[in-house]
Amino acid sequence: MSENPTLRGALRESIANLGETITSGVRWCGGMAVMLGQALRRGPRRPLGLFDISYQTLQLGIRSIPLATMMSLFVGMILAWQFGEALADFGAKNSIGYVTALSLVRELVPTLLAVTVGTKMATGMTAELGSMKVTEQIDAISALGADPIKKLVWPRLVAASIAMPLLVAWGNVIAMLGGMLISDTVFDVPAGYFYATYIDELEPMHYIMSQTKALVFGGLAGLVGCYQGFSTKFGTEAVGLSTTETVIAVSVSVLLADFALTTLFMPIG
Amino acid sequence: MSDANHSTPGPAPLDPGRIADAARSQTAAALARGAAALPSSSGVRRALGTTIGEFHGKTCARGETLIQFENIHKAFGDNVIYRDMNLDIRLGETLTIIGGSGEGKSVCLKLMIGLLRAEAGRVLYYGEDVGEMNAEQLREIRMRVSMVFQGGALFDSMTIVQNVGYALREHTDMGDEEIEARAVESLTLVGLGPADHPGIMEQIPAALSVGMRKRVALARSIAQRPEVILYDEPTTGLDPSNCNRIARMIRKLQRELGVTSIVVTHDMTTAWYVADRVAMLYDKSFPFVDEVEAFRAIDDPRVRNFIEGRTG
Repeated sequence: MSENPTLRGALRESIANLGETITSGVRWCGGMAVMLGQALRRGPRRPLGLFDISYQTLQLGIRSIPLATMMSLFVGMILAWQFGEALADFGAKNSIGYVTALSLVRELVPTLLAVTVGTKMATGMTAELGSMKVTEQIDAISALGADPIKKLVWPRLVAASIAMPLLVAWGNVIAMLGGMLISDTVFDVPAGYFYATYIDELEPMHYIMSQTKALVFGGLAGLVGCYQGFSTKFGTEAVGLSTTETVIAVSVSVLLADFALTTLFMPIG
Repeated sequence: MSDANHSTPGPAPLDPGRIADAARSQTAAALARGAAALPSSSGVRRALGTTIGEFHGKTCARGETLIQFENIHKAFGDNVIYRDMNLDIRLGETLTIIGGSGEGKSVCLKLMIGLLRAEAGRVLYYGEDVGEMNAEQLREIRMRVSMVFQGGALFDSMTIVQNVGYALREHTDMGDEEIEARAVESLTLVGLGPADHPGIMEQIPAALSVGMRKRVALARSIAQRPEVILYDEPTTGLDPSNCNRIARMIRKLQRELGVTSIVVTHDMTTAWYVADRVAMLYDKSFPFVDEVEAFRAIDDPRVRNFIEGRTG
């Protein structure tokens, strides 16, 4: 049987491309791990940079409140409506609060906010740090004897890890209000009853799960945002490219981390 | 370069008490050496008291080698920048580095302060290998060797006074007023003092012209009163009048602060004006290094083609 040389060449090229993709993926993960290690080692040294951390937390957190509010409100309303319709068919619409509580608190609010707000935070960091990189401002920080990891990465990493859990806590409240609104106006289930059943379903572990996910997602967004900014090549086009890659990287990382955390928490919660 | 008999605890942090002590010790050391090492060369530097020609108990007299590149090999992937490169920089001189675009002139400056590391060879500052230094030692070096970046690299989010005082805020315990006073001094030295430019201190870099931004970058680099200033294409993108202003500024700083300057440029007018010696980067090393007049007289076609702008 004779082999087709064109097919063999294409196969070889595909395998080579796959290998290259895997190598660059591993290099990317390695680079982020190194940056995380450097930030955790150098960041907590004195001075802690509390001003920078507070400033970044306010910047990331407050600027994200409108988006977090809108996302949470709509996801709460949509989920309540979807579940309400399905439950009404079985005459069980009064259970709407029970059913929506777990999905919103444990899964949808933290993940959705990470994918939207987290991506927004990360792209902001990439654009800012990437611009600093191409205009040599990061080199200038080093040249002036300061540490760019300590001055730029550490505050953003900590700020994102603080801001995201706060936003998720806020988002949980808003999503519940959204569900309450739909339950009362569309399905005639009183808001007070919805609230009582919603809260009754939740246990402390569910809040812990929600906040742990938010913490991890926030840290991931901060890390990816900073790493992408620092690894920006030359020119303004590179900043755009890095920022675009950040969107994909944060979304994929968040979903992978979500799967890992859900696997970890499911047996407990 | 020689070891001093007394030990000196590295570069003096810039607080007034230690500055005065350092100034006294510097004067004593200069007298002891028969003023061989470069003493405080002006009222400005005497007042600030940073040590020139002394580092970690080692001394260097004017005209002696301060920074030495030894068999440097540097590459970015397959792109080899330096191959077995050697270059000496002497205390108190202004060395201009010329060469074609993209050949790695700026890399040379970044190697000097450890922003980049060579794959082989050594960069010696007072005989200490910069490539082997840890973060703390590099910080110490970077307080003595400052760099003016090509585009200025001023921090967008900070005001001019914050930019100029950045290193002082990071590394000294100077108060806000002292830092502001130092910023005013430094800006005045580059012709941007608040007396002539009211309100400049609180402006942000984006509000200034390119030429002014470069001068602010220069002020930032001299605020810590360095021993060496590295200029990365200081006149690129400026009109002839601003080029001239910057070139005069480089000369003035050398005269008034006694700094050693390394200027990377391909603007030959600036190169001839500021330089004591000229080094030309060609084929991954510096085959031509000489005093200005001797350099201008070099008959090698590679040099002539470059300095006369021939394309052939």
